[in-house]
Amino acid sequence: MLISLKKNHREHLQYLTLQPFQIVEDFCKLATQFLSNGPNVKQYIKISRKLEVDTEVIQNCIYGIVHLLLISCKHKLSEADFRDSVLTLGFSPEQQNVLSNLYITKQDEIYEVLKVPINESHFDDLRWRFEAQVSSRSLSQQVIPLITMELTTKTDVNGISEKEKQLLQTDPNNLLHIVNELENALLQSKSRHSKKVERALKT
Amino acid sequence: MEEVDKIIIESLRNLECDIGVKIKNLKQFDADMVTGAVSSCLEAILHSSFPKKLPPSMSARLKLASNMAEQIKDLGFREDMGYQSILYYNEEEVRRVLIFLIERLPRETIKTVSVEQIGYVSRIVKTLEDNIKESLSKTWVPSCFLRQGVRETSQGYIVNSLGDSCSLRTEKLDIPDSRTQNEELKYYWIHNVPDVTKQCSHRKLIPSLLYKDSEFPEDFDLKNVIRKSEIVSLNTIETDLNIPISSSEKIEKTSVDIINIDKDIETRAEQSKIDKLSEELENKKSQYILLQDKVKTKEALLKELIRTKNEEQNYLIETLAKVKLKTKTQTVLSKEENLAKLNNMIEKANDRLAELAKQWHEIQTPLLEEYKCLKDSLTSEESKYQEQKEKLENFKETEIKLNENIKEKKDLSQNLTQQYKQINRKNNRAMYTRRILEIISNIRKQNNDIQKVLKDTREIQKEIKNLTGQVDRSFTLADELIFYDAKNDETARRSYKLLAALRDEFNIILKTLEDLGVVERECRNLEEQIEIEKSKEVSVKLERVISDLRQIQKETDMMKKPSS
Amino acid sequence: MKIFENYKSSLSISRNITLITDDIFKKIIENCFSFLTEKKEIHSTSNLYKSKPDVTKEFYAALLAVTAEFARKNVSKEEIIKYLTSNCGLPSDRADLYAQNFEKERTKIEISLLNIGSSLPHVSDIKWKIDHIVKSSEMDSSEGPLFRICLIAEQYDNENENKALKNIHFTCNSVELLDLIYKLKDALRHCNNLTHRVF
Repeated sequence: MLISLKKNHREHLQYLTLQPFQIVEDFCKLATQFLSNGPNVKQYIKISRKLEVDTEVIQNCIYGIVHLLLISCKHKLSEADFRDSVLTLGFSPEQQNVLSNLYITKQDEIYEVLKVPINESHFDDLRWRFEAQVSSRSLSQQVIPLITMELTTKTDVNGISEKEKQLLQTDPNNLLHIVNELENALLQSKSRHSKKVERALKT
Repeated sequence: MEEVDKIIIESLRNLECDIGVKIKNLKQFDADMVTGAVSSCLEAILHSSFPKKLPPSMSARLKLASNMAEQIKDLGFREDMGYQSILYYNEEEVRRVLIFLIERLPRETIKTVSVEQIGYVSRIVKTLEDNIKESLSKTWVPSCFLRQGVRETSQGYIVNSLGDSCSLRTEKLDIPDSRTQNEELKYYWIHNVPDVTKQCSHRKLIPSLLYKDSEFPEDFDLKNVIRKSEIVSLNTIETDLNIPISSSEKIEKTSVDIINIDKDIETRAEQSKIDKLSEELENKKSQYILLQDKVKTKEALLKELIRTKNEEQNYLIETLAKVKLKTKTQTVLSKEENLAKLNNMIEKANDRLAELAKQWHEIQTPLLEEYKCLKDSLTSEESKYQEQKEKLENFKETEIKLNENIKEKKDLSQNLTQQYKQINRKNNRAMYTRRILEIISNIRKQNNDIQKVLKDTREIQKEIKNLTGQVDRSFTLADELIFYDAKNDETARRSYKLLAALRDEFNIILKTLEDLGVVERECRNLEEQIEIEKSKEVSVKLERVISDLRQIQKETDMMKKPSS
Repeated sequence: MKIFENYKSSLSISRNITLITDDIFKKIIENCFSFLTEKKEIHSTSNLYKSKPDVTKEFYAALLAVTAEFARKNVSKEEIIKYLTSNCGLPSDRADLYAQNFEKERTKIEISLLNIGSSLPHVSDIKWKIDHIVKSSEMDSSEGPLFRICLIAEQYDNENENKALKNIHFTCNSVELLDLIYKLKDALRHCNNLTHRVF
């Protein structure tokens, strides 16, 4: 699959296609810095003086590269697809090589950023112990089996997972029911119907 | 399968099943051994006896085999099971059946042991076990259908939810007490106080009845502390209030004074006259009272005098009698002789009295001492006796307790030794663990291999995908280029046509390649199936069935002959 | 039997057969048991008072308290009868009547007593659904299956005085769900092992 870029995006990258691949490499480095630290305007001004162009051009180039990476990741382009897409933009094979390298190294990092759009609490851990309640203030002789559980759930907030713990208890009968239900859920997810739905959604 | 077979054979030998030393795996089992193994497992599980060997008669064999199959199915064996599995066994099936039966074994043998347990802890453990068993065997019910989250069963109850249990909180209840003498309180109790059941919410009633958490004992210090602080604060308030009160009183007093002065001026003249008269009256009155008092004192004096006069008279009569007696004795004593005699007698009597007193004293003191001693010893003896008695009672109690303990302990030790023996008999844990470890390492190795293969396949798939992508792309590229030229150039047009044909051809080739792969896979599947079918040895079994059938026919014929 | 001393004088009120007749005694017992188990009284209490309502009230309160106490301490039927007849001086037919009713309701009273005391939220049910993410604002790719799990836990709400349900929501992907099932099954296996333990 080839990606098509918007017109102004293509224009922004136009400047870069005219540069030797060493300069493109430098721009890639700047894009990497942008990804990890955000924009660095001072440096852009310095470079713009060196190359004798507007600062805006430099900025657009860097934003263009970053946006190209983002779009490619969003559509999960393979390496070959990315190569072809870059070539159709008018980059030389050498320049393309540099960009492809950047794409391959940064791919996972960008996926991480793009993933988990809505934060929901996920199961993290469950610790349990078996208890027998043998006496209480109001009933001196009793034998009640109980399973006390500590459920830990985690929620991703700005890349930091926040953990929440809850104490719960249950009895063997309900425990059996819960296990059966969960196994049923797992079984259903592997059923032919589910697989069909999954396959239909993937294509 | 070697490992599994070893474990199965080991367990069967533990069941005292007759299996020769030479036999190492299930392949070497014959029909009799299979029957023996299954029947001894069933015996251990169901505690009813089964024949260990197949009977010679075919129909009896059939009956026995189907009976055993039925039993195994009843135990919960899910797979296909019938008489044929025992009579015309195959290795796989027998292995599965035996694994199932051996898994069932240990539970049952222990259950019979752990029925009678003694002692607090083991009793609790026993009830716990029963409770869990009950709880796990019951079908699940939503807790909204249960009252107070508890389900009653034949043996007691199982708790399905403690969500309805409220925390223990008490309230002070007002309960009448018939021992009190306070009439007002009684009146209140008779007419006003509601029933205890209406004094607080239902969930709080039982704890409030049982525990007095919200009441302080009578002599609790806190109460005094509170009272003291209250008194202090009240006092300060009162003193604060007193200051304005006294000043206002003063004001009132002065106003009253002023009014009085006005009146005085008016009535002074008349007042003076009246005053004089009343003064005189007063004087007369006091004089009268004075005179009356005097009369009273005189009368009292008179009474006194009369009394003294009477007394004097009495005294006089007495003295006169005395004088008479004295004069008589005077006449007797006037003789010297008589006097001396009397004196002597008196002295003698005195001496005698002293002697007797001494004698009495002498006799009395030792007796008294003795009595005292005896009394003391008696009390000490008594206290000792009491002590001993208490001790004895204590000893008796402890003896009973110890006896009980001993009995319990004895039973327990007996049970434990029994269990110990049983455990000893199957003490091949180490072997099992070693085997399990070996198996795990094997599995790990296999897992690694599987991972490797998976990786390979994935790589190949990736490659295929890449290649197909490339093919597609190159076709489209070529297509675009030639199509662009084809508008002007005749040769290009032809080449474009050729390109289209080429693509079709290639597509067909690719398709056939894929089909080939599918067919190959199918072939492999079929081969596997054939292998499986072969391993079942149907033909041999069929032959056996036919021969058995013939034998049955023969048997029936034999039976018919004597009857006819 | 020391704790029962407090109730002795109040319980011995029922020796007075003219004040508490057989019929009233029976009705009070029925009220007592139904209140401890079914939450309501069968007979109207005002009909049970004769000449001395305060004494009847006292007896009723003591009967409720001692019944709860018997169940709490798991006192046997014989001991109950012995206590009522020899310590409180009740006629033996009344003691028998009480003890018989008590045996009938013992389990239910125990259950009532069991439900006094604080406990953790008790998980009693579970709901689940399977989701597939088809598309999101950030990503084109699909993801799934995702298991949305809701544990339903019960706990007593002391303020509203009723049972309150609490829903615990969380999400699992397949791996996490497997982990959860594995851990719960481990607990279940432990329970199962307890039922046929090797000592």
